[in-house]
Amino acid sequence: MGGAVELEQALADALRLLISGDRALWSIIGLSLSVSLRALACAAPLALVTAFALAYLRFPGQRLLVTLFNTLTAVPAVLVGLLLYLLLSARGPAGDLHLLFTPTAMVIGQFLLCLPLLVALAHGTLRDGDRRAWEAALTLGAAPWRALLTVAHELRFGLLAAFIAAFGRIVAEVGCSMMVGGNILYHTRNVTTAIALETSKGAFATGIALGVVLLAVALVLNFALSWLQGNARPAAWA
Amino acid sequence: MSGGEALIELGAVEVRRDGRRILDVERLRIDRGRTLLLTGANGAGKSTLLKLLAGLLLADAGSLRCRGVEMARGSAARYCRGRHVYLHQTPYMFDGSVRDNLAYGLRQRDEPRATRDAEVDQALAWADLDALALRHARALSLGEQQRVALGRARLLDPSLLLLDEVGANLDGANQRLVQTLIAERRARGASVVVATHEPAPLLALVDFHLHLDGGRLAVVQRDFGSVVPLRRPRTPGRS
Repeated sequence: MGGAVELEQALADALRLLISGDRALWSIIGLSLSVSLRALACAAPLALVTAFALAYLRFPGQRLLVTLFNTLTAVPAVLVGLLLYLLLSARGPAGDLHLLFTPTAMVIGQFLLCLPLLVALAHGTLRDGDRRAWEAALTLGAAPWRALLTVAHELRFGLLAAFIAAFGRIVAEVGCSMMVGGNILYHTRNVTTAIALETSKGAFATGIALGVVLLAVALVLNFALSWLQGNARPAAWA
Repeated sequence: MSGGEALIELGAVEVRRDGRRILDVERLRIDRGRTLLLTGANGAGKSTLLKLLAGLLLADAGSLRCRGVEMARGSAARYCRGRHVYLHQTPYMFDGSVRDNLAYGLRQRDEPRATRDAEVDQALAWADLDALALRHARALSLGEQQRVALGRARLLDPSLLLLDEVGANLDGANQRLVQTLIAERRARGASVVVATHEPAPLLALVDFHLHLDGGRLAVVQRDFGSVVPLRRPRTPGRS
């Protein structure tokens, strides 16, 4: 019973915090979105081209690469964080860049995290897609990169779903951001590292408020996706 | 029509998949202005040969000459794409209107919009698609989609047109459209390869009859009586 009352209280406090436009809270939310969107924007083109090569070209080691990317989707965020930490720390090979505990380090970490997932999902979409689209584009004289854009357009809903899944993975990860970001308020504190911190402090309201924001982001993305897919149904063509 | 000018020549070309040889052509030369009939059972390698000629897949071995110039296999494929147009048995319609589909190849050539529109208008009339110009291409019947694909290829004035499995899937009107197209290509000095199960309606239009059996190419004489293999018999131990 006590637990339920506490949760109710925390939820009410959370909503009040969100509505009142608490500066620290909104800086945290802003950082989460900006880091994850930047990571996704950097990874998406590279992942698309890689997935494309894996699905449509023939070269030695192709199957091995597919397996590798599929395996890498399961790497824990905290391990990516650890490796990146060792790389960026003052005595690490890339220490001179002074990137540790900056949002850029977090972007790099999330980039590494979402790349294999994007490649694996986009590869699945392209492999299961109609190969005739690629062939028709090429035979009608499209340069390979324009044929790639054509196929990406033809399969845009599947690819968009892959992007949204990847965004969901990185916006919700905590281990890597904590390791290489350092959870510094107004600088590298994002939604997930903040939840971890607030919870350890016993400040459940802030933790829940942040959780609500994460859920809201996910909800908006999924509504956007199903709206787009709904608009593309063949019934709408006739 | 300047006969005798070679459009493309294949020498000792092989295509392998999963360690298996699926196409094995000792030599094949397609001259300008020729129409070739290609027959063979399912899985004999007809589509593979057509896609090879279209530059859509690379040979694993052999030499290719395009217009008399020996080319690396990758360069030959690049050369062929857009010049040699391949038509799928079931046409692929891009996600867009009939107009968009017809204009696709012209857009790749970055033609000015006015020229493009005029050419698309003409193609719509040729393929009897005027009334459907703004319909979504995937909402059309199969026969209508075939007309879009034929018009889309014709617009590019390809030096080699590769028709995969022209036959039972075409209704009478579309059969006639294909025959018109083949005659038109020939009149322009362009070449056509038609793969089909049902050669009868096309026999009057073709110059040569090629037959594929298990990936091996043979030429059938004009009287369609005898089969002449296009490759030496493979004897064990021969290098």
